Amino acid sequence: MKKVYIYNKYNRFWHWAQALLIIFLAATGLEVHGAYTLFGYEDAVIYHNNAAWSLIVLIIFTVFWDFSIGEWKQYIPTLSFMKEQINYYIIGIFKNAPHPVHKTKYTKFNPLQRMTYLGLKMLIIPVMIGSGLLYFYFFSNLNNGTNISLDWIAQLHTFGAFILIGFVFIHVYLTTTGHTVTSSIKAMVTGWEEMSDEDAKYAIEEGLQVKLNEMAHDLSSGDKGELLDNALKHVEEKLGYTHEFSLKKAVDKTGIGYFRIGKDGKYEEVNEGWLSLYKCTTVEDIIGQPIALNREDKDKAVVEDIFNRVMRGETIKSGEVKRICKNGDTGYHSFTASPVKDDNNNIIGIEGFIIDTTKQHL
Amino acid sequence: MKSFIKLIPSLIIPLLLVFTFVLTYKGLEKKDVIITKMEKATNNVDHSKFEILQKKFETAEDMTAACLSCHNKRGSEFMETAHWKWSSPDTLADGSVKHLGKKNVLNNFCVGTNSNELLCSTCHAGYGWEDKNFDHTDQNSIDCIVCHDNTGDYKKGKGTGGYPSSTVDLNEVAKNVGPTKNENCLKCHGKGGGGNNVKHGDLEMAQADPEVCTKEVDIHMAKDGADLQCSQCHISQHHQIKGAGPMTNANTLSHSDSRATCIECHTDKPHIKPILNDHYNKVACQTCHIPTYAKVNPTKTFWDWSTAGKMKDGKPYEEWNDDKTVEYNTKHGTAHFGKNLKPEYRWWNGITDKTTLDTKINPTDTIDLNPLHGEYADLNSKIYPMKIMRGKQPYDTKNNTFVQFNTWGPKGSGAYWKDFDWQKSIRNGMDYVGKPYSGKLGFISTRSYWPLNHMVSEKEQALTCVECHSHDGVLAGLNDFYLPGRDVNNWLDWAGKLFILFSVLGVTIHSLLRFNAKKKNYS
Repeated sequence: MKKVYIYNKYNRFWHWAQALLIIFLAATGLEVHGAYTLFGYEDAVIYHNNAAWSLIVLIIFTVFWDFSIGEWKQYIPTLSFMKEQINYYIIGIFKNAPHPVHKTKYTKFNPLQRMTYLGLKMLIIPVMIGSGLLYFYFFSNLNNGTNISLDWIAQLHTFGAFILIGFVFIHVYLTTTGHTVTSSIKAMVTGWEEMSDEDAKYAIEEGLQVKLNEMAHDLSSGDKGELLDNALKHVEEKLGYTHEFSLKKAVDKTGIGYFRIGKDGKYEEVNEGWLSLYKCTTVEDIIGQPIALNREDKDKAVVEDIFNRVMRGETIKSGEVKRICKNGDTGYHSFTASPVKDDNNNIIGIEGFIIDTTKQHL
Repeated sequence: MKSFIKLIPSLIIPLLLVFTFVLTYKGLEKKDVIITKMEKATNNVDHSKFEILQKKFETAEDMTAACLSCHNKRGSEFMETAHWKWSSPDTLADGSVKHLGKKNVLNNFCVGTNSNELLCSTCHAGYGWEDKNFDHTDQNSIDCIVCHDNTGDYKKGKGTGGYPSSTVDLNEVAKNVGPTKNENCLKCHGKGGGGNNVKHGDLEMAQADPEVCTKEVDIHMAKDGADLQCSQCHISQHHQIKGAGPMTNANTLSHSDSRATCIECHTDKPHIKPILNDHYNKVACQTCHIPTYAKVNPTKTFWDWSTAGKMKDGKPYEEWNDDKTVEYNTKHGTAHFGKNLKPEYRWWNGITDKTTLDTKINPTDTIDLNPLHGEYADLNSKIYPMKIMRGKQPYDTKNNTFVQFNTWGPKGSGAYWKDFDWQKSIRNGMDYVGKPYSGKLGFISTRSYWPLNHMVSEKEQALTCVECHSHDGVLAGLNDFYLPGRDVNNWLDWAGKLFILFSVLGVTIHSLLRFNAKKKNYS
C-alpha cells in the first residue's frame, strides 16, 4: 500500500469550504423553508445569505482556478470505462474487484464522477445561484416597486436544494469505496491518498508522463528526446534519485545487452537486449548460470580469464566474443566489462554491455 | 498530530475565516434614523390676565365670542374642518369625491349619528347640535374649550347637544386655555362607541395617564418613553389636523399628507439590519410594532343589535362578565369585549369604501362596512394590523339598505333606548334623514376595520420573524402570496423528501451488501 499526493492545498480548501457551506446552506435553508427551528428565523436568513455570498465568491475563485491550471479538463465527460465503473458499483465492489479506473492527481474522477460533477457545476449550482440571487433581490425589487411572484423562484431553489442534499448523502457514502473505507476522506484532508501498489505505480507513471509531456510541449523544436533524457538524468542526479531508469530505457531502446555477474561467476542480472541477443525468452533461463555456459569450449577459458581480470579491478573497454544462443545459433558481440563495487569499495561482481557484431563476421 | 498542525494554515484557518464571516456579518448598515422630534407646543400667553375673560360668561357662546374677538380668523378656519362638519371631501376608489364623515357614514357600534345628535354631539366641537337644524355657520357655536382646556375640569353634558356640563366654571376654563393636550383628544377619540377604549382598541384614556401609560403600553405616549403629545405627530395647520381614519375620514390617495405616518420621524430605513428595512414596502411598521392592543382596558369586539330589547320581569336589564365588561344589555344587545388582543392582518393601500344609508347591500354575505382596498399584487398595499369589529345590525330586507334608527330621545318618542320598538325607532331615524323604509326589518352580520396605529410597543416586544414566517403564524389567513417559512409546494416537498429518503436507503443497502460480501470473502 502506498500514499500518493492527489489534492493540493487549494483543492482541499475549496472542497471543504464548499462542502461545509453547502451543508450549512441546507441547514439554514430548510429552517427558512419552515422545516424546523434551529438558529432562529432571522439568523437563519442572515446566515444563509452570508454563506451564499461566500459560496459564490468561492465558486468564482474555483472556476478561475479550474481554468488557470487546466483542472477543468478533469470534468470533460467520457463514456469510456463508464460501463465498467457502473459494473464495479453494482457487481465488482462485492467481489473485491479492483477499481476499473485509476485515480491520480490528473484524473481524479471516474466517468460517473465526471458526469455528476459536471452536472453539478453546469446545472445545479448555476440554478441554485440564479434562483438564490432572484430570491435575494426579490426584496429589493419590492422596494423598487415591481412585483414578481416568489412562488416559482422559491420552488426552483427548493428543488435544487433537495438534489444537493441527496447528492451529499450519496457522495459521502461513495467516499468509503476507495482503497480503504477512509482513504478517500483522509486524502481530501491531507492531500495524500492511500492506494494499492498498482494504482500508486500508475499514478506515479502518469505524473511523470504529464510532466514530461509538459516539458516536451514547452520545447518548441529540436531533438526533444535527447534534451529531455539529459535533463531528466541531470535532474535525477540533482535530486538524488538513481537514473538507472532512464538509462535502462535508452539501452533497451537500442537493443544493447546488459549483464551483471556475481563474484561466484554466475549471472545475476541481464536485460531484454541481452536476452534477445542470446535468444532466451525469460531471465530464469540464465540467472544463476555460470559465465561459461554459452561458449564454445575453446572460448570458456577466455571469458573466465576476462572475468578474473575484471574481478581484480581491471576495466575492459572493448572486446569481442562468440556466443552460443539458446537454440544453438552462434553470433558475435563486442562487450565492455567493469567491476561492480559495494559501498565499501569491495568488488562484488562485474557488469557490462554487449553490442551485436555478428553481421560484421558474415 | 504533526499532520494536523500541517493542516492549520492550509485548511483550518481559511475555513475558520469563511465561517467567521458567515456567522457574524449582519449586512451593510443601511440605518438612516433621523428622529425629527417635533417641538411641544408651549403656552406663550397667560390668558388669565386678559380683561375680556374676567367678565362673567352667561353662555358657552359668549365664551367663544370672547375667544374669537382676539383669534378672529380661527373661527372661519375651524369651520372647514371635520371636527366641525363631521364630514370632509373624500375621493372614492372610482375617483369621485363625496363629502363623508361621522355625519353620514355608518358603523357597527351605534350605527349612525342622525336623529341622535343630542347624545352624539357630546363629542362635537360645538354647542347645540341637537338636530339637523343646527346652524353650521354660527362661529359662536364653536367649542374652543373642548380641545384647548388645560384645567382638565371641562366636560360636556350628556344629551345636551354638546353644551358644557352645568358644573363647569366657564371663566375658569377660559382663563386656562392652552395647546391641546392628550386628555383633550382622548376624551372623544378614546371614548368612541360609548365608553373608554370601546371603539378603537388602541386609543383610550390610559394613554393620557402617566401612572398607567408605561412604555409597555405605548412607547410614544409614555412619560418614560417618547413622552409625546398627540399633536406632535398629528400636526395641524389652520386647525386641519393630520390623521385621517379609514372609517369616516379622507382617503390617503387623495390626501397624501392627510395621515400622520411613522416615517415622518423614523424614516423608511429605521433598522440596523437591512433585512428588516427590506420589508418596508410590503409590511407596515405597525404590523410588527403593535403586537397587541387594548393593553389596559378592554375594547369591544362584537356588538349584536339583534338580541336587544329583551326584558327581565318586564324591565330592561344588564348582564355583566367577571372582568366588568357588559355581556348583555337590553339597550344594545349582546357584546363581547377583549383585552390584550392580537391584531388581525389585512392588505391595505389606504383606500376604504364607506357605507351610508344609500349603499345597496347583498344580504347573503357578511357586509364589510368599510371594505379595505388592497392585495399582495397591488404595489401600494401593505400588511396592516387591524382591529376587526364584528356585529349584527338592522337593515331593510326589502330595499337592501342599512337603516338609521333613533336611540336617543324621551320616553314615548319612539327612541329605541326608551321604548325598545325597532319599527318606531327606525321610522324615526329614516324619516329624519328622508330615506325610505319598507318596514321589513332584518339583522345582518357586519364587519368594520380599524387599523391600529397606537399602543406601539417597545422594539423588544415587536413581532419576531417566525411569527409570520411559520406554518401557523399570524399571517396564516393572508394567502394571496408566497411567504417563505409558511408556504411550501406539497408536491415538491414530498418529491424532495422521497428523493433524499431513497438516497439514504440506497447507500445503506449498498453498504450492508458490501459488508456482507466482505465477511464472505474472509470466510
